[in-house]
Amino acid sequence: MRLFKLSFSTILQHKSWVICLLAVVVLPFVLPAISSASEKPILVQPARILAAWNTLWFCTLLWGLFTAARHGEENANSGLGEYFLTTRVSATRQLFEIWLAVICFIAPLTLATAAICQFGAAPAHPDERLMWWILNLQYAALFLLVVSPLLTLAIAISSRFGSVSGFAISLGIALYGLWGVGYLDNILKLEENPVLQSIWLLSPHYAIADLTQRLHFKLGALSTNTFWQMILYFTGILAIYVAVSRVVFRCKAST
Amino acid sequence: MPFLAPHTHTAILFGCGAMMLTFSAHHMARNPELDTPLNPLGINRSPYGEVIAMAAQGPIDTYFHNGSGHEHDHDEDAAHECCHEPGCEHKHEHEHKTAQASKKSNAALPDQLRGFIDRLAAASTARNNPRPVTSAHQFYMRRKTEDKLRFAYNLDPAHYGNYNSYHLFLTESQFGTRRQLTPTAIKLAKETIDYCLAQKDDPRPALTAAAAASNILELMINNVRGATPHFSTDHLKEALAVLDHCLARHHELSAQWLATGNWSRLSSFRIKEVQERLHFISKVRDAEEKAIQLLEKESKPFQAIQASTLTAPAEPQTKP
Repeated sequence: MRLFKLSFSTILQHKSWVICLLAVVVLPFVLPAISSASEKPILVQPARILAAWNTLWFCTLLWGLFTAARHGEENANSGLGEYFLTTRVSATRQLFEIWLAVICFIAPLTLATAAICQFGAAPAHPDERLMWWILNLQYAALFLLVVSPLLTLAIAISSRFGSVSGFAISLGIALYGLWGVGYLDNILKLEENPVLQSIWLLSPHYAIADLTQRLHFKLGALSTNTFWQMILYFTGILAIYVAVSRVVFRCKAST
Repeated sequence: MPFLAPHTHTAILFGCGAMMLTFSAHHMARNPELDTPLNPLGINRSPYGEVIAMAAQGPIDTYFHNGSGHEHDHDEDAAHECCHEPGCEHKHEHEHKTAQASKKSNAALPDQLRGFIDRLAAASTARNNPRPVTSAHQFYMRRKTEDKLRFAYNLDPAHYGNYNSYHLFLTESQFGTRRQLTPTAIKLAKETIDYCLAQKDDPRPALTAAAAASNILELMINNVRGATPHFSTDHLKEALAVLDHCLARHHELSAQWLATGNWSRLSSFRIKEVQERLHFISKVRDAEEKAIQLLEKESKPFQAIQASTLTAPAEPQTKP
């Protein structure tokens, strides 16, 4: 796990994670003050939920993917990857260790967000409180399941095509999955098109895993059956992305 | 200039920049040519804006249904009538999903995958909380819907569904969140008519204009039937003439499209949609004409005419 330790300590030393941590911890309590919740205290909790989870998405998609892409590129270009190959650390193992270093920062941010939502925006009624626990955990699990393969993809693409490509492509896929697919679906409902329909089917439907609205509207926890179906779906996407990343990832810079 | 310290260069540069900015900003703020409404990237009323306005129906539906708090059972409630105006795509979405459910048993793999994703998406927004939505929460969601409808309307004022949904929110107190919006609704309808009638290359905006004219006429009829009418039946007939003009424009442009083969560029779904809208507006128009004839026969219009001679509004527009 030497590459993991090296990557982890490098990210730790750069200290940009501090900005994300501060944003995730502080913004949910500051942003409601500049929303309409400042006039209507009843809206403070919905505003806090939106601020908490949207800040996490923002930090992960920008900082997380960028960090992953940069380390993927550095591993290939600096000769580190080549060195670790000579010490019998395989390419897949290197990909995993870099990913693990990045996710070690994203996972605590996710748990912090879920905790803020749980303790800073929980509903008052006991029935809803019980569902709140479950929904927060479900959201945290789905969020990590969606983000993990994207980080892997960012590392792999950047190792071959550079950090700008790795970051832009993985961010583009994430944004498309979160919003683009929904708009494509709306267009398909108005007018059928077999090509667009196929693209829609094969697209990653990340919007399903975005449970911010469930928390915002207090819709309650997902049923167990639905939750496991979602886990299955996103695990399938994870497997595909990992397979693609394994092919794309390289340890040596091109000559 | 070696006699000046590096910081002096920076200060001079900063000072010059600030002076130029202040000077130009002062003049630009007074320049009427630059006094344009906010329209980032020129997206409003653009071809892209029209597509985004169509696609915006999804987020609007989400807020509307969470705000109104009514539940959906897509499999059993196929005949469920939507609360939106007839232009709303929401109803079609129900039909679409119900049709898919009926095909589920013998569906191919892509259909099964589509069904699986649709079920997941529906489950991710389905309400499992046994407690009802609070009234404050409903109000907040309705306000959000209203704001989103205004956004969608600005993107494409000629979009039939967006205009009618926004009009509904402005005029129906159980949906709308702001009081005294009838004058605003009339202003909106007039702006829509002006915008849509300026579109001379598509028959569909004329239908939206006809819907807006029909809405103005309906508000005027309601006013005449009320305790303090401000309009005479002559005013109503003028509004009916505007509605007829819009429908005539639609038929004229429709004939042009038929001659040029433009209708064939549209899918059967879109053509059917236009036909349904035309059928609906025509029926509403006939009903409104009958209402005007009935009002003429009643004694109330005479009082209205007397009242109108005192107030004599030049046109059925009141400022908000």
